[in-house]
Amino acid sequence: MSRVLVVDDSATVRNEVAGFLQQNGLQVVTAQDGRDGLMQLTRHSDIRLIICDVNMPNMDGLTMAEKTRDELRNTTPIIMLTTESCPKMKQRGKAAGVRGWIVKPFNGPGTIGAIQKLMSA
Amino acid sequence: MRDHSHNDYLQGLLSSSLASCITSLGGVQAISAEEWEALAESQNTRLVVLTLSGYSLRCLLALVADGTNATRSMDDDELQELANNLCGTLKRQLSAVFPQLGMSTPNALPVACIAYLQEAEQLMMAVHGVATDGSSLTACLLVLQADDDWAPPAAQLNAPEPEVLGELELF
Repeated sequence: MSRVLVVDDSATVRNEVAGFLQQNGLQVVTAQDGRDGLMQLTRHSDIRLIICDVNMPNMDGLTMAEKTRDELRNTTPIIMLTTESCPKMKQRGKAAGVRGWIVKPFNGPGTIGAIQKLMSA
Repeated sequence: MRDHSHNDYLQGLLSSSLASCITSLGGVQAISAEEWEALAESQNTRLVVLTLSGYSLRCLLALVADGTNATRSMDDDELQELANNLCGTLKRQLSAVFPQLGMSTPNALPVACIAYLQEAEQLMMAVHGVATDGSSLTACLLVLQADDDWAPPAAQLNAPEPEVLGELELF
């Protein structure tokens, strides 16, 4: 069974996103910041998609994306879910291999199709 | 910096940002500095503060939830996420004038800190809104430092562009 890793420092967002994905038959593991996210990635080899916030304590989401690619050599697709929309951040995300960007709030029904496609690619 | 157009511009952005983050808000109205300061004395009130800063602007965004039952039903994490969304919305709106801003994560502070937050401000504006469920929220923007020569974009004064939120942009 493949999983989605949801990384956000807000329990409200983690619960909202994880709950929606679980209702749609997906397994979810959560992390509360980028550092915790990297740890979960090394623990669970069946993670097929990462949904990640940008602004978080300890390690932000873009740094986590860079470390996922450069240090863990892991190419799992990453979607950023954030209040940020500045082009420079998106550019940094693209350079780190981020595949998609959502400006909060999370619109589950509008994104589930793309999420499933990214997981099966 | 203390020109009316600057004040009106920031006040308009703060009002529209609060209204866009709480869709059930019945309306948003400006409140005075005295009304804002008085919140420091109110009971069961919670305060969340974020920083917005760059080379041309440094400010604090504060969100206060009052002690009514409806507002208290919102837990601390929900309140912090709401403040985070409010700050992100404001940051996106401000990017037309201040393109290189960074924002912090939300910090919950004792409400008595309101008095200290205002000590360093150059300019402040506060707005208050009540949602249809009775939740009562007050947002305050405290500008600590801004470039002397910044100017609000005349065409957008009090009329920020509508945003498309929640859509997945694939790269």
